[in-house]
Amino acid sequence: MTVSADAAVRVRDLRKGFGGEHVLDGVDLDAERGEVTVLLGPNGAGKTLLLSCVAGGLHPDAGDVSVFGESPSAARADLTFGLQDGMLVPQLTGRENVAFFRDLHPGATDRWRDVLTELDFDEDALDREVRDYSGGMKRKLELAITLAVDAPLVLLDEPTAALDMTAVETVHSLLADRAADGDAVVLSSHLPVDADLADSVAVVTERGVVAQDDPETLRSAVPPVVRAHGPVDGLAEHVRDGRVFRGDDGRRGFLPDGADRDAVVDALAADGVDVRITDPTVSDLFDYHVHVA
Amino acid sequence: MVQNSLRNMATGTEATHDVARETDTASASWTMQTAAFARRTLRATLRSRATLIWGFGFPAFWYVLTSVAFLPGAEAVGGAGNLAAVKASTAVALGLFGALTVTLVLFASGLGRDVGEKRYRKLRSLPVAPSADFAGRYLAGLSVAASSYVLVLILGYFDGARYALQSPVSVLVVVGSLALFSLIGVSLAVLVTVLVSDAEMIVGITNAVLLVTYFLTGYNGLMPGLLPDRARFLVNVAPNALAARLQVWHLTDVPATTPEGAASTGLAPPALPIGPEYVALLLAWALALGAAAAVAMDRGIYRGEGGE
Repeated sequence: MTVSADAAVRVRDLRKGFGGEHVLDGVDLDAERGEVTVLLGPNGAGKTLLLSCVAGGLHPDAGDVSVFGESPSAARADLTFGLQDGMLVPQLTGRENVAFFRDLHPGATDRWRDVLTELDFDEDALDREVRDYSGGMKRKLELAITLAVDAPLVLLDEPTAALDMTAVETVHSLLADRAADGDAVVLSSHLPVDADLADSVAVVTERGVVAQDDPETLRSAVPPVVRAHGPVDGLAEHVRDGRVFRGDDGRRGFLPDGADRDAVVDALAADGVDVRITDPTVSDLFDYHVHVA
Repeated sequence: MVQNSLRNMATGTEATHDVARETDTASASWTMQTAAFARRTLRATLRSRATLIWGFGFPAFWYVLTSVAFLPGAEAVGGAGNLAAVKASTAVALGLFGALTVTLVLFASGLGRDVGEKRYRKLRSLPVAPSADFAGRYLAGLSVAASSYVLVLILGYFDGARYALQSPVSVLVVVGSLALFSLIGVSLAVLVTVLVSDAEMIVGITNAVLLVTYFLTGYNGLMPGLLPDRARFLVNVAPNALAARLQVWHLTDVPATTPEGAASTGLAPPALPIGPEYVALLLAWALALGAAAAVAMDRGIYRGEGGE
């Protein structure tokens, strides 16, 4: 596999599954130094498996995975991997869990304290057993342990799951800083808000990585969105594949190829629907690739 | 930038990743990793209710039950002195039963949870030596097993058991055989975990091994007369009974030192394993199973994908 100087992660034709069934079937992925790559996809699409294969936590059935031009196992000292619900021992206190991981990685530092402070983590809770933590507290501790490691590749499995919006923004800031320092950051998420952070978005579905590019380029490739309020029974006739999505702002669907925008608006308006056609958001990008394309 | 400021707060330097890693690589040694796994396993084990109940409570309860309900009176074994030695040998056998409960059942349960809850996906991503993982878990298992073992011996003492060392070497034999027996227990736990993976199955299988070996060897070698004649040699071969009978010889007094005495307490025939060849046999068991477990840990869990 040819690797460019900026390449942090290269995945080619990765196949991985269990019990004879491939969850990942021919996946390609690229991540560069100094960039945040977000693996965006629904639950069960294989994002955690993909990250685990890149981290060396799982071994591919077939295909190539390289980290800085080496195999994941050879590059273990150059990466730090945060795995949701796969790190902490419930019977240990937060501080004891931190101490355990600190002794296992040559790049570990004491920055975990500062990360926890940034995330507004109650320091007194560090002396409580982790089994008494909420989901958000566990996630913050996993993040602190992972981000305290000085390694040029940061891999995070759903780091913002169970966090409040303030904490999500803090995590985004920490990861953006990490990328600005030249590190490669790869994270998985099923929340479109995490795409705000991305230099590159890889959409992961059950069909693999179906698209990867910068967010604007990806959004520009998604059809316009028909948004409707009111009596929307007829909306399905006017959107791609007849697929209608519910949302806070009514119903929506994707304009079919070759459809006349004005004709669609007129037809729906005639039925009393409050309708408009807009450019896609990141949520639309997610829905399009996961459910329509 | 927040991250820059965090780094400076923590390190006081703008050192590059490479420099930081070179400095830290030397310190993240095998010893540190071993100690990390030992502390983690020890804490998790001691904070488990199962450890308190099955690792400490059950062997102690069983000793008390045996002493109250099943041990013969002093007349039946030739006097109070002999009864004190019988109680001591009972404490040794049940102490080792507790040690095996800890190192086999509870240890396998803890390792099985790590495997079953996918924690090895994270551990495999770290530059961890599989041997450090195994050694650390073993040291923790040995510490808890030794505590459980000593608890039963102390309980026996207060019940009238009397211990006596055959010679200064006996200290080495007793401590060494406990360490080797614990290694055997931990190794079996690793092998069962790698082969089975399912947490409930692991607990079931290790419990079965614990109880079957105890009963099939005449209560860890205390009552070889319970076995058919042709199978009695097993009490000086099977590691649980071999360790117990070695310790009975080195840690208790009189009855076992003469054929008549040993027979009166039910310890013989066969004769107690008092020669160095029996220490070597226990060592061979420990080394063989320990080596198999180390390979299983490396190939089954780290280079393989145990639990996936």
